[in-house]
Formats: sequence, C-alpha cells, structure tokens
Amino acid sequence: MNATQLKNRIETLAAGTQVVELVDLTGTQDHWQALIVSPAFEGKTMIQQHRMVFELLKDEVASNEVHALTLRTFTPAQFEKGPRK
Amino acid sequence: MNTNPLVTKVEEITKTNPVVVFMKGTAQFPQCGFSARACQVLKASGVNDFTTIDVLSDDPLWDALEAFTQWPTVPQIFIGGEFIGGCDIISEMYERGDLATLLKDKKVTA
Repeated sequence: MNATQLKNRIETLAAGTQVVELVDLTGTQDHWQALIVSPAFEGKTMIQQHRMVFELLKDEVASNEVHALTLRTFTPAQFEKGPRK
Repeated sequence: MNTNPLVTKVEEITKTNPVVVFMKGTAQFPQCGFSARACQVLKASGVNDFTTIDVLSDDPLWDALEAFTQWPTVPQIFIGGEFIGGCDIISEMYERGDLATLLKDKKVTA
C-alpha cells in the first residue's frame, strides 16, 4: 500500500477527514505514522478513534500489508489548538 | 457472554484494580520498550501504585486479553475498569493533559 492509497483510504472515514501527515517509518511502505484530523472523532475516546481508522484497514492489517500504523488523531477543534511537536 | 474463564478473569482484574497494565515483563523489568514507556508515563502522572500483569509468560491469558479488548497489541492499559489503549494512546493523552484529567476523574490521583 503506497502513501496515496493509504491516505485516500483513511480519508474515506468521513467528509472533512484529512491525513495531515503520513510518514513511511522504514521506507518499506508497511510501517506508517499518520496524523489524522476528522470531525468524525468528535466525542469519541482515543481508543474509539483508533479503532475507527483500523476498521478501514482491517484487510491490509490482517494480510500484514500494513504491519504497523502509529496514529495521532485529532478533532478539528483539537487540531486548531495545535498538536505539539 | 464469552465462555472462556480466562476472559472473565481478565475482566475481573480490570474491574477490581484502579490501574492495570497488561505488558511484557514487569514494571521493574519491562521486556519491551513500549511496555516500559507505558509504565513511565503512569509514574510521571503520579500513579505510584499500579497492577502489572506479565502476558509474556502466559500465552492463554494474552489470548484472553485480546479476545476481551479486540485489540491486537500489548501493552494494554486500563484505568477505572475502562480500556484506555496502548503505549501510543497513553503517551498522547499524557502530552495533551487528558491523562491527568482522566486519573482525577477516576479518583486514582488527587
């Protein structure tokens, strides 16, 4: 799964979802780190937010095509305030 | 209801202890960097006393944990009986200040 495919898939989560940052941690297109902003995260705990994203990628995770995906998830309001680092 | 008695045991552990970390190794001797970091974050948040369960030495319990939370990786942290997440989530919550709020809400810290 390349970066564009991964970004597009994640952005199917809900209207207004944005993958702000996507890093291929190992250069092998299977260890990723993503910063995602979505209105769909509103009112959800972080574990629920992460589950929502992994649900979109369950086939790729099951097949190990995506071996690792480190997530940082924000609602638009949280992102407005600015993620550190 | 899950009929695996170990799943019931996992649930019981999480309900009867304020803070539980299912991890590889122990707080004193973690055997995985992510588990170590989860423990560090809790300590940095003023949680001096928390329960750790070493799943590395107990495969059936590890399977039961996965069945209970439907979450594939360890560590797994529970606060006030609620599954919070793994190392990434607890670290992120710590940085945002949300962990301190949760710990107070659950009466773990003053």
